[in-house]
Amino acid sequence: MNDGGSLASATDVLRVEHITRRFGGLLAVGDFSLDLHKGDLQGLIGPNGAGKTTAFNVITGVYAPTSGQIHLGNKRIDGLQPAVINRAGIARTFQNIRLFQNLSVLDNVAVAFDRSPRGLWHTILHSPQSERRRKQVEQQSMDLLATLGLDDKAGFIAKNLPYGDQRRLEIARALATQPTMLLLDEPAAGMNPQEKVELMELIRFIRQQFRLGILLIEHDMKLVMSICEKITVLDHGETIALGTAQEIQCNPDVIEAYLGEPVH
Amino acid sequence: MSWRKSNILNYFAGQDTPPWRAVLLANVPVAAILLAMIPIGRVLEDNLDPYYLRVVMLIGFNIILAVSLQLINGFSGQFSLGHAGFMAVGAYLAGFPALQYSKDFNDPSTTLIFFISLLIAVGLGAAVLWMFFLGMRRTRHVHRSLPGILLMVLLVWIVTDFAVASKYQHPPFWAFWSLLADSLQGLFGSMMNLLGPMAASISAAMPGAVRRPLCFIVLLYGAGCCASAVGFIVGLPALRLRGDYLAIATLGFGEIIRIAIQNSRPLGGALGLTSIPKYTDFTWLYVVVIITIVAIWRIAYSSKGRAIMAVREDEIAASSIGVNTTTFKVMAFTIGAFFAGIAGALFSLHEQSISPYQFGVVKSIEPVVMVTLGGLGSISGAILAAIVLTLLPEVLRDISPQDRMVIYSLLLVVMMILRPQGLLGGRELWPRRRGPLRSPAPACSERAVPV
Repeated sequence: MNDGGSLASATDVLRVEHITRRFGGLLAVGDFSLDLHKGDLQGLIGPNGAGKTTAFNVITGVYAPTSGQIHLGNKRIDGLQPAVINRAGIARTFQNIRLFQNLSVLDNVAVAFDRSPRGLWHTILHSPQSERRRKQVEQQSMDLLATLGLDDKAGFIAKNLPYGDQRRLEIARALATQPTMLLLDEPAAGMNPQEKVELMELIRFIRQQFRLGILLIEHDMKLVMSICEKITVLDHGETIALGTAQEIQCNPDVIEAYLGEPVH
Repeated sequence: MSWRKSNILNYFAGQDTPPWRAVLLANVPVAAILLAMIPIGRVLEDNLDPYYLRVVMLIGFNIILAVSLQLINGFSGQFSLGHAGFMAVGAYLAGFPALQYSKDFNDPSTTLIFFISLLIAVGLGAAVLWMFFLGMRRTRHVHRSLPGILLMVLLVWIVTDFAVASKYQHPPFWAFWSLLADSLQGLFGSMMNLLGPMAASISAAMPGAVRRPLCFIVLLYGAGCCASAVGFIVGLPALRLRGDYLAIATLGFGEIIRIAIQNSRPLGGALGLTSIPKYTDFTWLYVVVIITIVAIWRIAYSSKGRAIMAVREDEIAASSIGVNTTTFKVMAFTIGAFFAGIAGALFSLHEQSISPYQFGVVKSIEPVVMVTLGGLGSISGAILAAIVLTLLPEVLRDISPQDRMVIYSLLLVVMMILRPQGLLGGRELWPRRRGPLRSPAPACSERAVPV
């Protein structure tokens, strides 16, 4: 199975075209469009219930869109299974951290590196190939953990990590799938100011180091405004504004969505 | 390039040691233990009291069952209560051909043909179900297509049923199964016509010392494969159900298997099969026990086991990093069922008579108790619990024959109150990795992962 490596040249833009997702009568996301290039850092903001996470879920295949298309490079990916979409090159984190809690930090990352189900006989017989592969995966995982500063905690059980490190580990796990696009769902939620600063540095670092397109959902305006080049604002499923941090801050629709209508 | 491709290329370019030699070298300790079972078995069978020998054998069967169930219940986190069903499949599909085609274990080739034709039939069924299942997953509106599909299946069933009912002189709704059994027999018959003479001559050409163990191995492996095919089919609903619902579904599957056997004339119905030739002895049983432990251990603590555990921990997260959750859930079921089938085969070739009542719900619950008592996710715990829970009723027999089951269950209750996570609680008696976890050199910290 190809792990997405050779597709890298064809997958440098994620194009979301007019996706709509309805749950019965509720319009969760309506006519949402987005272009994310490799190396971009975009933000997706909006009040609670605006449909940000649903948009993420549609892009990553948790839900199929009701209408609209999603392309990664030349490949159409809307409606595919989450695992297939991930293998095509889109990785994500979750709003409420979803680690493999009872596995070690190293195993959390190693799963993402080595998800090939084949070679059962190699495994049972401990063939030299499978041993070599195991060592290689372990080394890769340790390298990645070292890059993100988690290598000294590789043997810890994931649920015993401090909160900030759990977030970091979740990002490490997403990076281990060697994606071209990284979707972060409220990475700063529940963090203290110090951890937020570290997170901002981490996101910048990841972007430089791995040359990814990053799409970020965030409630912390300071964080979003300072690191995102382009911001999309959702409200009630609709895109109400799109632009740079300055443009968004001055946009009357955005102010209204967050603070309510001006009183006359 | 994937790692498998590169291996083959390396091998043909002469850069690797030959695979068989490398594999053999990697498994010297296991091979040594397996060989050691021969003298141990000799000594024990000559010197041990038949009663104690029987207890030792029971421990062996229970270890295989508990360890294979640990893969399903402990590592993949799917609560299965159908292990006796898989065991029954193995027991009957080893006992039946042993009775029919290889009395005295002298015809491995014909036995092999029996299993091949059976596997073709079961495999076809599994493939059809798999395609049906995949088709259902691909459609966005399962609820709309489902009644139509069910109606179609029902219609096909009824039509074929009435069409063949007159031929078989059966009441409708049973004729269908006779048709299935007949087509299976037809398949086997035509394969026998085609390959029978050749198979018989191949078997006849083998020396007896090769023929008998080979026939036994074919019986075990074939029965295991059939059980794992059944496990695959049972594993499919496991993809949609979890927790108690899955437990009930697997319980139902186990009962379906038992009742199907109970109503099947060739398999002896409620009376079961008797005078099956005996072959399993201490050596064979414990060779299989060790192979089971080693295989499940290596699967559980490999990349596959890691993925299986990841699916157990969080299915959504696992699929978000590209792990195919379906594959690993079904894989756990299939492998677990394989070894349960082998345990059943060993059992029927040891007990010499089997009946459907031996494979009821109680038999399913026994290994579940062992796995839970040993600690979910601990292979050594399952082994320990299998030994303890087999010995306990026997020890209690000496103390108080009347109340032994009461004491037994009380002990279990007390145990679960004092140590709800099980004896070993997810840990292993001996270390998981064969070396301390390396910490990388400081130089690594500046390096990026190769993407």
